[in-house]
Amino acid sequence: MSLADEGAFRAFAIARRPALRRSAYLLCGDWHRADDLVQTTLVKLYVAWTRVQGGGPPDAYVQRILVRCFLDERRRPWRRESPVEFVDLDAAAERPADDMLDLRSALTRLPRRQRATLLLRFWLDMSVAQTADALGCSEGTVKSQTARALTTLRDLLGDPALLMEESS
Amino acid sequence: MTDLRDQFARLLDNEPEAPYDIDRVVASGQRARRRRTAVVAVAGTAGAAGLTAAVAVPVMTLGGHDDSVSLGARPPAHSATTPPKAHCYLVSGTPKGSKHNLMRLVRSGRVGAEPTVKTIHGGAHAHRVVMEVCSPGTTAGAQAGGADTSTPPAGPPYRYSADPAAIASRLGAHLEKRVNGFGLTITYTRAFAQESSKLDSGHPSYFDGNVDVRESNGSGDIGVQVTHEVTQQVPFTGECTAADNCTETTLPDGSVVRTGQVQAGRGDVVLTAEVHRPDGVVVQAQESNYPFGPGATAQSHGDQPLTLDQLVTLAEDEAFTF
Repeated sequence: MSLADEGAFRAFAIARRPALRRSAYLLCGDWHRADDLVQTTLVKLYVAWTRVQGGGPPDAYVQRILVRCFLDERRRPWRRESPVEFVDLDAAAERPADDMLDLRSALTRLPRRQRATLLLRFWLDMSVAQTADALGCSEGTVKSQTARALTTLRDLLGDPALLMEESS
Repeated sequence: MTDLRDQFARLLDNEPEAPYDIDRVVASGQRARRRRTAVVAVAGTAGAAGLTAAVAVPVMTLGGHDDSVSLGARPPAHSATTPPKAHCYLVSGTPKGSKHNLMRLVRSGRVGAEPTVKTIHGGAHAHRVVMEVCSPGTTAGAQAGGADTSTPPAGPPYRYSADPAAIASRLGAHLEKRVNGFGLTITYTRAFAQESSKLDSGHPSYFDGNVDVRESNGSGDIGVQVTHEVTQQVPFTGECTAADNCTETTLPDGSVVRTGQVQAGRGDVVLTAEVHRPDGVVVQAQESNYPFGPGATAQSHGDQPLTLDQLVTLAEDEAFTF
């Protein structure tokens, strides 16, 4: 990689790192793991940087890497969330007073792909088509995953008004 | 109506300070690029970088023999009863890990009982050592020269002809067969599948599957992931560090074998063997001494289902491909 390319990568990484870190946290729910995810994401981006630059703005690409790294953690047992650390589902009946804790624990109960779908759709404001592209699935799957995730969240949070999904 | 985005934002209110060092990211990226280049290098091509403290650049050590190996075609494995062909291997890792790798090469019969060992980098008290291990009749360091290193070769293409579902089915059947062949009893199977999205080319980024097995003391798990260098999904692209007990061996055909062991807490141990083949295929075999299937939390830990040698053999199995 040329010095100019490396300089461009550094500038991009420094500028986007905070946003990537927040997205990573919303995916995994742990700041330390979020830092690991971002580190892995940026290293992968570096490897592909020359090619990525020629393909237009790299933002969508790096978000896709981040999500794939998160989904890829399944195959790394030492990274995988242990079921014993999940909050007991029965405890959902006694909602904590703190809504933030409630949402955080509710998110951990969603399957990874549903969590990733919510993040891409409602945090990164991606369209259904863009989300489908990032996750490598059909638009219909994105819609169904979104609907299931929102239904689960509404049930867990006891908030029937939570972001009614668009009908499209 | 409650805005989910606002609720997401509230979760980020107590964001701690980021620990990132951009130089560390760049250094890791440079190492990953060097590894990608080195792995796909053809015989006689030296890697673009020098030997650093962290990663040994594979030097392909073919030549001088009639049984030269072409790109993407691995020689048959040598059994202990077959006289080893004259080959050199590069082994890197901690002093202890490299010693284990050396012993594994001897046990496999690939370098004979009395190989020539030359320390290229580091020493007994070094954080990391690189050794060239040659079978008798091969001169260490004599086979690597003469290559044009000015232009790194392009990576091999990611090709397959079968339907992805058929590939997944074949891989799953083969994993079960191999695990049964090790004398283990499978208690749960997660079928091979394309777990991530497809590349722009339409190829699945990787296939993986795993099985839980019954051990004398409890349960364990064995998984295999098959992917390709171009997918950016390669599992072990990061640093080969002592913290992960990482060792690295370069085989004569250019394949790079990495092993690692992680103590994952609560008695959890994960062993990994990963093979980067010259044709771009990457196979990661991984085992743990605890299960992942249904009811996993109620099952006790077992022993490691396979020895490290067996795990490496599994990762080197050429049937794990697209």
